[in-house]
Amino acid sequence: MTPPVAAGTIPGDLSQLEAQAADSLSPEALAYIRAGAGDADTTRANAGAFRHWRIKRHRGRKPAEVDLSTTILGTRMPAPVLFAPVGVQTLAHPDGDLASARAAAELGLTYLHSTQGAYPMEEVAAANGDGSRWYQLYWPTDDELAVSFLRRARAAGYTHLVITLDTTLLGWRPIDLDLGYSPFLENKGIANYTSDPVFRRKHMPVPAELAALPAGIAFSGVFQNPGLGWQQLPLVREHWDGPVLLKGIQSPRDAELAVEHAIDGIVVSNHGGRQVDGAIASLDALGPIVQAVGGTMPVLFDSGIRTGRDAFKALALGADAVLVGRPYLYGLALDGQRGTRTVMRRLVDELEEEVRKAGLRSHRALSRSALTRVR
Amino acid sequence: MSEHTRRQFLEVAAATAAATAAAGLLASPASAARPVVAPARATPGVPGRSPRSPRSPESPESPESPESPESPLPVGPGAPFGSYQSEIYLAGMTAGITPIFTTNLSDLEAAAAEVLSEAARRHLLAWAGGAAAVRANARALSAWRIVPRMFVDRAERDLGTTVLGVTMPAPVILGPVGGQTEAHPAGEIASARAAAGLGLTYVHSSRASTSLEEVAVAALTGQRWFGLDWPDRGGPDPVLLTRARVSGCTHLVISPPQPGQGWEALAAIRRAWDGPIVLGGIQDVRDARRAVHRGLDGIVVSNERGRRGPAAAGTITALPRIADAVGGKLAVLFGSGVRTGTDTYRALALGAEAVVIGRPYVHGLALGGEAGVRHMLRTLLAELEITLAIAGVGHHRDLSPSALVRD
Ligand SMILES: Cc1cc2nc3c(=O)[nH]c(=O)nc-3n(C[C@H](O)[C@H](O)[C@H](O)COP(=O)(O)O)c2cc1C
Repeated sequence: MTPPVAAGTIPGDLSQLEAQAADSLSPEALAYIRAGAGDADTTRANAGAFRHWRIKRHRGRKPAEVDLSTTILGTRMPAPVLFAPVGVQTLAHPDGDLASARAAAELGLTYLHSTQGAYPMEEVAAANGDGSRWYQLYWPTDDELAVSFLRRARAAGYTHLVITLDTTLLGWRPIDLDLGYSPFLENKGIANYTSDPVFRRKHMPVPAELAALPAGIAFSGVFQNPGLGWQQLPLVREHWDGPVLLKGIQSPRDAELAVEHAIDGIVVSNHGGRQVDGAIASLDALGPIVQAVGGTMPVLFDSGIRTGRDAFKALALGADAVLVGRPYLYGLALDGQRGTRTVMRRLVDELEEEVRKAGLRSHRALSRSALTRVR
Repeated sequence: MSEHTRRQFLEVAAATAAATAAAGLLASPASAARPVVAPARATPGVPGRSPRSPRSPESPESPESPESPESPLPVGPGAPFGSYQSEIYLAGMTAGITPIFTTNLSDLEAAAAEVLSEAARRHLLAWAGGAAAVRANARALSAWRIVPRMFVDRAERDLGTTVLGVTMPAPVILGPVGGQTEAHPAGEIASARAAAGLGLTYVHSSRASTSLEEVAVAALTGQRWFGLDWPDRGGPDPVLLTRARVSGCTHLVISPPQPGQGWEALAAIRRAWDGPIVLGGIQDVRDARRAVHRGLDGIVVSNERGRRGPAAAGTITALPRIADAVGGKLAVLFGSGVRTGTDTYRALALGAEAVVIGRPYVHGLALGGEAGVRHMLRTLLAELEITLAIAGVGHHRDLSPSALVRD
């Protein structure tokens, strides 16, 4: 993949990214990005779960070439790594999701645009050009608005729909609460709403440019949607003809329900520990879910991946591909589009090297036997 | 403007007004609808800020909102507790007002340690069974991990419950803690008022530094129970029990017998008290069964005041077995090491009908008097309600051990 890794601002050890990026972020921005629910116990558990697995040393021959390419639900990818949907990226850099969408296109990796994006989905699509992009939906309480989002996403070239289920309410996040800081109330991260004709007509009393707070409040009104349930799926099927994935699955039972409802794929995720404190580590949820699904649909994974080794472990435990969240944001904070690209490129390179060291020509040959469990 | 948007507007206007008022009204008497946030104090790492927006807050009497001069903000008993979250964000973003102290209840003990006297800290720690037991309880609780479920309609959010005939807006009881003026001059009065303001039940300790009657007058509308030490050989003090009842306490919570004390006193307590009786300090199935045989109405699974027991394993370890054995025959409450909404979730899932909290509210008291207790309670309730909703639990009654996995 081109272009090469830029030296400089991005630390060689990706696990040090957060510490490195902290200085280039305002206290509010750093808090919002780092935040975990409650005491951040789930966020810590996410990271800790990777340390309970070691990659076995392979003594045999190492292949000269490794091919990380894969196809997930019809989307060709040079590596099984995607940009997780991340809202409010202007907190990290003024170019926000535009820069990330460009970086993804440069790397050929799939970009997931969040409903909470800082730029409207059409602008992000333009930045992404002929790159691969999926759309992540936060299902609003107003169905007409939901349908409008889907229509726009389709028109802007997003091919897959990822419905995030774990954020029908915002988690209790003390580091944001203690600062009294919410980006949405200052008109950050609600661009998809304020640019939407349905939202503007039905929910927005004054243009957001003139009055950020009312727009933010109107947004909260349609965002909080704890009434969301399986019974609403037909609406999506009616208005979206592409593949549909569900993000936020942690229980094998929910994975089975997804199969029963003919969902196309799932993302095993706990939102980076931002929603429920004291929850299981996402990596601990992965194995049982892969088993429950039994190969009937692709299982993607996120929450806690910081390095190529982490990605390797998730793939070995059965994920078909992984999403990366905070790391690319920290890259963005450190060096804009180039920083994001460097982080993701390095992570993919590390993964490739791990697969090679494991003696495999493709990550698809990985299995649990590549790992040992430690406590 | 849609009806929904209009309501949102009214809410923000009210929250803004409330937040702004809170800045100047810290010393005023409390009411149920009292603002929830106060100007930031010197909480380490969380400096207060000046307002970010120079705009004046929208008035609730704007032309868009002709009716409802009263606050449309859902506060007070029966309101969704989770709305505390938007209140805090709105107060922060409109008036630069941050919470009175941290919203991370796991950090509360450390924060309170900076303002509590050494004696008060020791007293509180002893009440909770000592430092080793406190650590064991925390470890044991956090080993139980929540497995959230998705796509479950949770539009109705209700934490309400009935425990021993008492209707409660949430399954949370403020347990008996003595000597609270050591933590804050307003002591028990502040705690009882904060509880009453939220509709929660407050257990007045017989070791309180404020009299039963004073607390009754200060928190007249609140549900109050009376917490009594296991009596000496002479039996319970009838005058004390009469005062408790006359001042409005409806239930008795007795601390467990100390080594050397038999269960005989129970009959005398029964004779002297005609309301429900709850026995604390239950640590194993045998004692729980004995409580059933002795005709007690409820138990608190806890290791209060250093009761010996499976301290190393943590009290929560015993809860599922006890709930299995005696649940349904009497009320099973849990009272050791609950600090957060997540801890409450765990205890409810493992079979408790309600939790009894102690040190967290006293830490809140130490940090902010009545407003501090209220902030602590609202934080716990908001976290609990939001967590239940996100994790796909219909009502906390629907929780079962299968909602958790053990690490
Ligand atoms: C600042 C931030 C914003 C996020 N916004 C969204 C979002 O809008 N939609 C979504 O589905 N997930 C969102 N997430 C969660 C990510 O998609 C992903 O699940 C999570 O970041 C993965 O964990 P990691 O950060 O440990 O890689 C967000 C995460 C962060 C850190």
